[in-house]
Amino acid sequence: MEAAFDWKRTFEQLAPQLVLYARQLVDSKADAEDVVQQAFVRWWRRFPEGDSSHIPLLYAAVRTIALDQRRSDHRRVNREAKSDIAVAGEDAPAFDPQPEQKETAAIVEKALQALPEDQREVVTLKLWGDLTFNEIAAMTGTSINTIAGRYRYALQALHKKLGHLRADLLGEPTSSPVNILPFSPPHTEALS
Amino acid sequence: MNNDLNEHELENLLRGLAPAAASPALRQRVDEELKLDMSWLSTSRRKPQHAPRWIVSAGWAAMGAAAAIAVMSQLPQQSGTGAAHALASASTVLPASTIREWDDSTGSGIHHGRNRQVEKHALVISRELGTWVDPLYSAQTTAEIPSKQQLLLPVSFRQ
Repeated sequence: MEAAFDWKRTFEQLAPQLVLYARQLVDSKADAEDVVQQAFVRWWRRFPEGDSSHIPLLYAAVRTIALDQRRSDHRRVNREAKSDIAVAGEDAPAFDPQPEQKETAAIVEKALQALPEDQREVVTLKLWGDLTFNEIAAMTGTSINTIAGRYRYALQALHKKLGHLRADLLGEPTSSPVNILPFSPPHTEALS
Repeated sequence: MNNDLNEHELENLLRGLAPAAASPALRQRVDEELKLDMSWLSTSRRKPQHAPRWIVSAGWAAMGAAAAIAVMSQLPQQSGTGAAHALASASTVLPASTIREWDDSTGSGIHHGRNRQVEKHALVISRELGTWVDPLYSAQTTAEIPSKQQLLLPVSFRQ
């Protein structure tokens, strides 16, 4: 019965972004995974077709459950004891960077944590959740102008932390390039 | 030369960072929770026109269990006779869910029955979806039985 396994493909595609979003709302990755578990199961039972048009509702479920969990004192304290599979640690990194992205990932993670929560939420939903301003506004019950404003402020704050990385990340030449080759680089005119 | 990232480049830079994968434990927990109630399996195939659904009687579950036993008996047998194995299977097959999806209904107004009792006739077209699981083999089966029922509903009036 193929439908029984379709959820796994959808889950693999969405879980990292959902956990990243939930982490912006709760204290730890373990709590975030609890939230994602509840939200995904609830969403999949409601929309087992895995239709992408319902994905904003999945993020909305993550938000609702995360906020409920924050208000509640209940925690699954015995989760690690019950499971023999590794559980995400409290200090697990939020990103899974390529080797050349490690420095950037560390800076982005810190910079995200330094943002106000409402800005962090919008930037996470927009950039990694791939939601539109309209969808974010609908799920947070906020005006689209407010959402766009939060996003702009968040990008400005991130720019302050990351703006200097341009040359390294985009591979643009610096003003005084150092020749590390054992010979002089050929002139472009000579090649034409 | 301005070496600063512009907004578009910054967005691309951030989008280029892949969020960390969820832990294997999370996937396992989702798997276990979805297995607890498999009613979504039947709704994934066809959406009902009308929402009403209810758990039907134990008699329907028993009928389903009998059908499931027949399916499970086709599984490879490890030892013992076929009858003994069927008996063993019977003890492990569990009805997971039973759903009736009400597709359509029509009423034909109020009539007077033979004994002068006021009745309302209704034709209900529905579909019953039953799911059974065998935890022993992690097997499951779903049966869909369409039905058309003429209901006779007694009507009473306030004096």
